[in-house]
Amino acid sequence: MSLIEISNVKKSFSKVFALNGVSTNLEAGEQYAIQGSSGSGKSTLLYLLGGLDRPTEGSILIDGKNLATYNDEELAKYRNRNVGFVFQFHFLLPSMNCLDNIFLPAKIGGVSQVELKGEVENLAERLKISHCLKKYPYELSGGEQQRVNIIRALSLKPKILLCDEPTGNLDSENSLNVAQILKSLAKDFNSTLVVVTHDGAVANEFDNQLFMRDGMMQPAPPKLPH
Amino acid sequence: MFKDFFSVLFLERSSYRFAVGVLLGFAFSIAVILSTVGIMDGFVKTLKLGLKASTGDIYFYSRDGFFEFKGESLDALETLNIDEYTKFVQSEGFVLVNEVSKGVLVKGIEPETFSRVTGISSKLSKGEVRLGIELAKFLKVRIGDQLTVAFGKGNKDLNGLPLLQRFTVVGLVDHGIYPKNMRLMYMDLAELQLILGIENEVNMVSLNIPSARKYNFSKDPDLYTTKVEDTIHQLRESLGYKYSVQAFWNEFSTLLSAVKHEKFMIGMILQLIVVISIFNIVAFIIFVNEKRSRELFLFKALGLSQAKMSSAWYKFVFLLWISSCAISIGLVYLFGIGLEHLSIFQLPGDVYKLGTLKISLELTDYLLVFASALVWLLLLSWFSMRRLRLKSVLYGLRKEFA
Repeated sequence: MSLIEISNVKKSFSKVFALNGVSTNLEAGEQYAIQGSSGSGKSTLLYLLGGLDRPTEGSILIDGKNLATYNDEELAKYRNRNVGFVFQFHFLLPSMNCLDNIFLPAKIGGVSQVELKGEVENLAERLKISHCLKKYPYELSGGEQQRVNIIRALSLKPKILLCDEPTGNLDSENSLNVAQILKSLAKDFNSTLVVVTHDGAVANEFDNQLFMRDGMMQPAPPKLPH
Repeated sequence: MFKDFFSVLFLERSSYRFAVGVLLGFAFSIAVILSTVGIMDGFVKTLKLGLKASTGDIYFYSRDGFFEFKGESLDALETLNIDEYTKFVQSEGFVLVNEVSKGVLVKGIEPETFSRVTGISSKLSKGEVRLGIELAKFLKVRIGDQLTVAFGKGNKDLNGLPLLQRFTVVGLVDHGIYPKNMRLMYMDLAELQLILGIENEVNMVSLNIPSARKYNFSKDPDLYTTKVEDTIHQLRESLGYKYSVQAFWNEFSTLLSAVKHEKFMIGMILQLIVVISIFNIVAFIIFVNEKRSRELFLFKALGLSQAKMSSAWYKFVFLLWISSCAISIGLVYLFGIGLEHLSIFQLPGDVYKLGTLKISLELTDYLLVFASALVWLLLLSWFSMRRLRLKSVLYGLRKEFA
């Protein structure tokens, strides 16, 4: 049984279909890149996987359980305990320092911060941002903010790490660095990694690549010879 | 978690200022209702206290006019263990002094028993009178001055002409009620009886309920009122139809009843002010939700359920309510001080019966006003939360990142 089973998922906004019958399976511990142009529905699919919304039709099974059957409280718990989000805009709260931002999922989920502190400090050291933990987001560079964002997403050791254009704001060198960091950390945490990107260079870092167009999965386009 | 939520709401000074404005507006609207209710209660209470202080708890008179206070009427009081009572004669007269004349209500009293029943100190000897303070002001007389009173009883030599008698003013009486202060004049009972030629007869008896000192009208007016009504009922049974027995508030019962109805109606109408101020709170909730939508959606994306989000909002709204209630108590206190000390709030006593108004609020008044404000607040907040709940997390995120 696959960790994530997506069957004929459709999602419409005001009668316009953003997803038009997506079906695919994602395996536990694997790493995926979803590519597609703007408006192809890749981010919508990512957010449905993360339980941020419900499909209009079809089903998404996580470990065999249909997300559609979860009530609001269960879906929130699923997001908190099973999913880590990395957004393009790192979205750190300016009123909190970085450490408090990292502990936000733990606070929401009622998880002891003392237990997580060691792990968070190790991650910060690994991503070379230990000196940033007591600082406020506005004191950090874009790259540092994105790494704080990644630590926050991994703080509760999620089964699924979902990244929406995580390199969208970075230059090409930093983009590849962040992609490598995500792959490496997801492997260490045994998380299934799904990265949505329109950057072909970033997608090429992944063995599993999915392509979307007009709200549907497409076969992989033939690779052009260099 | 609530602290983090709160810190997001007030990330910017504009939100903070908006919240302070909303808080003060809500507090002010609650204070307006409390003050209005308090003024009306204060009016009723002050009026009743004044009436009680000037007449005792109960008074009765014979439907036949003058009567001798002995036999059946005296026995009725003793049977009911009423030991504080005073008899008096109430008649009309005409004061002439300083080229001013004024019709007055002359009360011939037994100073000692009258003081026991009413609490008005009124030592009087032959040839002496005490005046209501407003009457003294009107006549421009002071203690020690002399004045002339014309009584309706004609003298023996010139039948039909008024009897004129000179008196010395030995004291002023403040009843706390403007009409009484403007009309009443006290003199010795025996002297008035002599003037009117009625010997031992009186036309009214005032009394206090049995064990009156055990009860306190100011602290528990409802209990006191019940005791008075019980005693009136017993007295009516004992005295029969020949006597009319009335409570101290009877004189202004129509006015008191009107105020009671008015209080209810105004209380209802003023709910509108609360509702309008709550719309400001709703506007604040919508404003912050729009302004801080990214942060609020982030909370949701990280696992905060809609129920917990709503719970945080309700805690905020509840905090706002408690703060507004506390501030409104302060505002009412300040308004109360203003009412008592600022000349702008002085009333025309001939219209309102009282010269000044006081705010009088019971715990139940506070609880009722605060509870009604909370009900409105929760109701309107619920509607606005419901509207916000309809937005999905994904919709919000996409809108923000578009």
